[in-house]
Amino acid sequence: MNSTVKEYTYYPGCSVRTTAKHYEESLLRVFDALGLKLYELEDWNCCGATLCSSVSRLTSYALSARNLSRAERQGRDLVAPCSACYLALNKTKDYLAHDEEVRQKVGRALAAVGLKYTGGVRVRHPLEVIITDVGLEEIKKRVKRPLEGFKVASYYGCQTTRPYKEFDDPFYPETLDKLMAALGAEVVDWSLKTRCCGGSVTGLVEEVGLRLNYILLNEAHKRGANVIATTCPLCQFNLDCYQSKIIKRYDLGFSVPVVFFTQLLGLALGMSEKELGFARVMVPMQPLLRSLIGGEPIRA
Amino acid sequence: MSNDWEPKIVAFFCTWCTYTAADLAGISRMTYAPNGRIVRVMCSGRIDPQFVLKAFADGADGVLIGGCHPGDCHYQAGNYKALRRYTLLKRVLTEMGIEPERLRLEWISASEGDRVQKVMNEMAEQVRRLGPLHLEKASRRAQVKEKEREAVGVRS
Amino acid sequence: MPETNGAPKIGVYVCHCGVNIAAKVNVSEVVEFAQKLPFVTVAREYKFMCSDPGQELIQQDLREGKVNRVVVASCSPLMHEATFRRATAEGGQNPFFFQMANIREHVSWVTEDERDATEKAKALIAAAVRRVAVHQPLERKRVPVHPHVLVVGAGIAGIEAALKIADAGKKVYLVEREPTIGGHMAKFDKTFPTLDCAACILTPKMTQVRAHPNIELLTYSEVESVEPYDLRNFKVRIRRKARYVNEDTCTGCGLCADVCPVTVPSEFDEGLGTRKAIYRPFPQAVPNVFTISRRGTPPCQAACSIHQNAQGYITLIAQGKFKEALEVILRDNPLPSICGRICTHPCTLNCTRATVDEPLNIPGLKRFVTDLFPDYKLPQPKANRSERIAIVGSGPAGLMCAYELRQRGYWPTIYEAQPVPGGMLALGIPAFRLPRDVITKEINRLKEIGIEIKTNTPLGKAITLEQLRKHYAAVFIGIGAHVERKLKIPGEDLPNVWGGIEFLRRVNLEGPFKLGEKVLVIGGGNSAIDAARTALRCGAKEVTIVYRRTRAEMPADPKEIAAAEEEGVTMIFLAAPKTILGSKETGVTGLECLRMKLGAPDASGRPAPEPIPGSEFVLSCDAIIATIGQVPDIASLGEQLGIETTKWGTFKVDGVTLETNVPGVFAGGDCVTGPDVVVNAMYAGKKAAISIDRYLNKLDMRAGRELEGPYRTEYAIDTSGTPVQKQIPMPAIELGRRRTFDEVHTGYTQELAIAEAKRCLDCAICCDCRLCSTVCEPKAINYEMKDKIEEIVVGAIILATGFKTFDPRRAPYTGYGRYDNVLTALEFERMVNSAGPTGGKILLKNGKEPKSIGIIHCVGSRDKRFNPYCSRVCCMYSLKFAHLVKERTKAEVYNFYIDLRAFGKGYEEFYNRVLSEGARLIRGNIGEVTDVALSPEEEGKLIIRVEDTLAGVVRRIPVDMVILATGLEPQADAEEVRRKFSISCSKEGWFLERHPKLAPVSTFTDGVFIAGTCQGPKDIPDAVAQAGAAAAEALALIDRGFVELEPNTAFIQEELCSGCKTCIPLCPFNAISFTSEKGIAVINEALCKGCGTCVAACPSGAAQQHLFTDEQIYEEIEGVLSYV
Repeated sequence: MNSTVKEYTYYPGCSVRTTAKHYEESLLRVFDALGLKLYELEDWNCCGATLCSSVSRLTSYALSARNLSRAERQGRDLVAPCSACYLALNKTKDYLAHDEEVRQKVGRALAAVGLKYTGGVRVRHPLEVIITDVGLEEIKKRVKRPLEGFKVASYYGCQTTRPYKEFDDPFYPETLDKLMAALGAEVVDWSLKTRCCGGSVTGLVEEVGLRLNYILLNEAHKRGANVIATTCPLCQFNLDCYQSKIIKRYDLGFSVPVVFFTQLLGLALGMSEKELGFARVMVPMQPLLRSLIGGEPIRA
Repeated sequence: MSNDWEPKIVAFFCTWCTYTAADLAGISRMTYAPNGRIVRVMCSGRIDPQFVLKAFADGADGVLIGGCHPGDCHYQAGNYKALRRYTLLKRVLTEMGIEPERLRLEWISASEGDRVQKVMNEMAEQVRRLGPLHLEKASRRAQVKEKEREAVGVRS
Repeated sequence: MPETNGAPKIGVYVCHCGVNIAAKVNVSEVVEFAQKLPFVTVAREYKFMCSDPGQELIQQDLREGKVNRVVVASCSPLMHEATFRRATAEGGQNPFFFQMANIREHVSWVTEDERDATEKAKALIAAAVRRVAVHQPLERKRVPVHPHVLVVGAGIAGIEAALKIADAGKKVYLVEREPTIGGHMAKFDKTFPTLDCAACILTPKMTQVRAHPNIELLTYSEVESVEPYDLRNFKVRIRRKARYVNEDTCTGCGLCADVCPVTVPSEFDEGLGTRKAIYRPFPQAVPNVFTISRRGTPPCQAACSIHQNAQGYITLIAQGKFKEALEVILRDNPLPSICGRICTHPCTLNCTRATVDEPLNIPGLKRFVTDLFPDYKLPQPKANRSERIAIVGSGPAGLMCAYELRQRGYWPTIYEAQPVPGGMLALGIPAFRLPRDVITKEINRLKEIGIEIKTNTPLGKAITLEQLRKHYAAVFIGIGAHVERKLKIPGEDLPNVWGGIEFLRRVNLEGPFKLGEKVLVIGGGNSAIDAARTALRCGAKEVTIVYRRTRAEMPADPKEIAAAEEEGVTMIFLAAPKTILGSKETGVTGLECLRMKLGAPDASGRPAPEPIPGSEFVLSCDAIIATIGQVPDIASLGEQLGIETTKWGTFKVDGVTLETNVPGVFAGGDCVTGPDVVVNAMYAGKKAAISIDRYLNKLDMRAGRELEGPYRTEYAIDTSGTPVQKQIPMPAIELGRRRTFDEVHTGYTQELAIAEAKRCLDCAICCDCRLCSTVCEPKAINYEMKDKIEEIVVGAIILATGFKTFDPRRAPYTGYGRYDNVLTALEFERMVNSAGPTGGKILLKNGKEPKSIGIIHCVGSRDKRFNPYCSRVCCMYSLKFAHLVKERTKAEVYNFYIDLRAFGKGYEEFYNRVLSEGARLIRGNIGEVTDVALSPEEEGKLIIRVEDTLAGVVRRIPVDMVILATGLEPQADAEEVRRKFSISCSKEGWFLERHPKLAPVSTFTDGVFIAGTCQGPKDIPDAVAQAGAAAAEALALIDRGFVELEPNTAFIQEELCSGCKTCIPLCPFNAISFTSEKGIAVINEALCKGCGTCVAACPSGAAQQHLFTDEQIYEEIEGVLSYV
């Protein structure tokens, strides 16, 4: 990778400021370390995903469109870490491009607040940014602390590669696996990489969500994973926060820590556990970290 | 259509690729704008620039040239010749005050019936937007241009 | 325009084409309109103009003189122009007094509005009328058609077509790119719906092809190019790929395959089975001969300066064929037991395995073999000659040169200055890396084949160059580089400051001696490491290496560095010596160093160390060894010998021949290159030997020597899925014994050697061990074989290039490539084939019989993501599979289908039969194949998730084996092929037929026909039928022996031609030439193909084209515009 700093507009979304703080913490540090500069989108608003979209599609498009049009002014690619946002933004782009009615109505809505969107923004997932703009070879070079002993199950969730397979296969993606392998971790091959985590349903119809997450945890464990790496706040939340319940309900004989891929990446790049917010994870990561990388880890 | 004017378009198609594609469009019942009138030639290389000028002179509002994709010419290189003449012709038309958009060249292979449909429709749209071609207006436009040039001392 | 048949009387005939035209075009209105057009005397309409009564209408009017020119407004001229021209002719007029208006394909079928359609029809008719008015009578020209036919592709379609034509007594060239004919069908077991065995019906046809006197079979060949031979025939160039086996002498006995050590997956068995590097796809192959898969020199061998065939002996070791391995080694290397120990092995640096995990330990394996046969002999020279050659220096360069010369029959004598032979091998390399007896043995072997060695005979002192030149036919000088570089710092001349080579030489010649307790070694090369480890063995307590760069830049072999550290050598990096402290009395007491930092890369590409001012520090010591390289420093000697030298104090030689300025005197090795590795010295020796041989035979010393010495080859080898398996470390003596001069590494055991050798990836496939040629009695094997180009002329071509199957890796939801026991249809075909890898048994990877099997239809077909079309054969072969499973196992069979397509004779019946046999069918496009068990009964199974669209429920069906009904796709190179034969492809890439219904095997290029699946997915019966049709078309063409050409050639109106020559370069067929006597251009009608490009370019309008004169086209333009 050439040493010149690459710049992006950054759309945090609500999750990384609430339930997924550790995603943002690790993301910002990792991006900084890799020479990827993020400029937070000024006055950004809800991406319109989940609830809103089920109440009024147009509203959610309008919301995303507002973010897009503001981002377009910046003239940089838009990085959205939360896959719900990532999808909502891409979906809106898609509809604005192909659905005349949506284009007109949303256009009017934007015009009302003196905005317009001409389709010039590329919405990107941080995972894809790291893989394409930095590259695995470069990452390998920068690894200070290979993740030996980490048996990682990569979990992409449903939205990162579906329906918009922008950078990987919708059913059996491999980007994250390759990244983890590059960090020296042992990658666990399993076929639930994009299987549903229950999404917001877990909060509404709990037993359904619990079962879905049980299937995921159980399978990951069966395949020998000692940690699950996610790219999505909601997935991480479901798998992590409901885990104790799942353990009780299905008397699981084990527990698997669930972290964001950026946390593991940061760890390999030599950052400290504290910086990477491992403490925020419900299912404690510490035992694993202690057993694998021993005492206080080296600093970057 | 508000006014009853309809563009007249002459389409010179090579027999091997584009004319056949037009047949395929027919066989596949792909309807398209009726404005195009196809004149068959053996190869797009046969299309004499004078054909195009004549068409405009005789009242065509647009001219379409169709040949085989580069590398596919039945006669090895006829389509390349057509391309060269086309590029030059566009300049000449501009000189004459005729909008170069009235002339279009398309590579359409025998299997691309749908492209014939698309191109015919687009061309009709295009020319409709440009409106009827009035040669005398055109030549006036040309003279004006000429004057401007002389003014700044450039000879065409 | 002179009237040719009186004033035009034009008849216009408008066709209804049933409702095809009439439904959109108001025909009677059009007729009315036509009546009023100039010159039109008759205008009629009729239901079907192409029918006999329709044509009769025209002929009658012509006969009765009502009309003398004809316009038919109906379908496309590509459809019926010929028909109506014939009608016109039969009506008594020249057939070219006819013009067609295409009001079906170009009007009624493509126009929404009836009004528009009618108007457009009028315009086209108006144009046709104006055009035909200026038509002229023309004569068709006949051209002969060459009677031979080319058939490309020898699957069932190609075979069928070839046989048909050959049986008709015509010569056929049948070209197949694979080593055998038979195509996909040869892989099948049974064929639906009749279930007769594919082999039983195919192989007889294959042998017929082989035996047929009229068929020239060109297998393992590809069409290189197709050019027009004349107006109607083709000149085809065919590449006969080198088989390395002579087709005519090979008896197909198969002994070669038995001895071949290389095993690779068998393409024919779809990778389920294996084959050898020399192979025959299957026993009934036609021709029944073998082929060697060779990719050429493997990377390891290419990288080696003396091109040691590493893959060769490694493969043999892996097979336990150690004796043979030794023979391969001795082919190019007379010092293998030395190289096996101390060669810097460039081969491993280029080893493909390194991209997976680690390169092979190639030298280690070589050493293993030589250790196994301690008393091996070098090959005896083939010939003997009279000439004697003098060689100065018995280092690797000298020894290699002597060996190569001896092998060529010369008598070399080596003069060595030192008391022992071997040069740096004996003086510079310590015994614990290269035991002395190993050297002695190698040298004795050389003596045994007649090489003489005289020690203690320095050149320039004991003997002079003059003497040598007088008594010897040629001289090679390889005296190495032995003069130590100086540190050039104060205190260098203090006692107990040694040069590395000086120190090692003393130990090697006089044995170990104590030089101090605390020894510093300066330098980072291999000799620094050697010196340090030797110092330890000489009883030093502490040995420290001081290097001015960092470990990363150390030129020494990382393995050696590691070994040294194991033994207790310590290292100080980024430190450069400044002053050596001490005095004459005390001797060395310490070394003052400067700290360094790495700066910008220097000439060597490594970061240049820069001193940090004021960073001096002192290391205490009582001995220092400076190993910072040597120089030949033969400037003075060179002068004395009269040999030119360079400013670096090395001999100046010709880069290619190694000859010095003194004729017949050659030089090579360190004394030319400066200090370098052993293998490069040997390379120099070999190079010189070749030059000397040519010199003495008065041959060109330079010709064709490009590929001597190292070069890079890279292979695109798919290493994916190669399990990581790191290099096996070579056993070594325990650290305790590392204070003696015992050899450190003890060498691989047989088990280890075989295991290590098995890591080889067979880059070049054939490893060039040449065992096959030793067992081939008819001597059919020829490694020197090259591709040949054959040129043929044919009048007709039939393309039957077939299909490829969809690669389900593109559809990860099928789990193909990730789960065992997910098979493609072709893989399963091989599995159920009684001649296949499992002998027809249906088995899981674990060898057990499956209890349940799922067959998934439409994989890659009828799917927007892949191919929108239906592959037509999958439903039926899936049912066939279901039947075979039922027949051979007790397994449950589930078919997952979208729609069941059992069209065709006996198909529906077969479908019912399979149902009655108990196969289950579930209608639904599957969601995925997964190995995630959600219940005990799903454990260890493959679960197929599918929506049963009939029951309206989502099912999870656990099975042991999944078969993917993979669809058909155009060949990967279809685009390339269609260009070669200048035909068209459909959007999906299938070859395009001239007309979907009426010309299904013709293309838009006259004389080129298509048959079988290259035109689109189809089953065997259809493919065979089409092949017959194509054969018939080709026969009709060549049997008539001529074609009548459309008379649309260009011509020059002499009176108008100005002789400007514009047209001449435009003609792609060189049909136009310039006649100087007339000063005009003339067109050779026999060459003109009638494109009209020259006509369009003619400034004076002298060039014209029959049927497309400017006038005719102008009329047409005015016509279409006069009435729109």
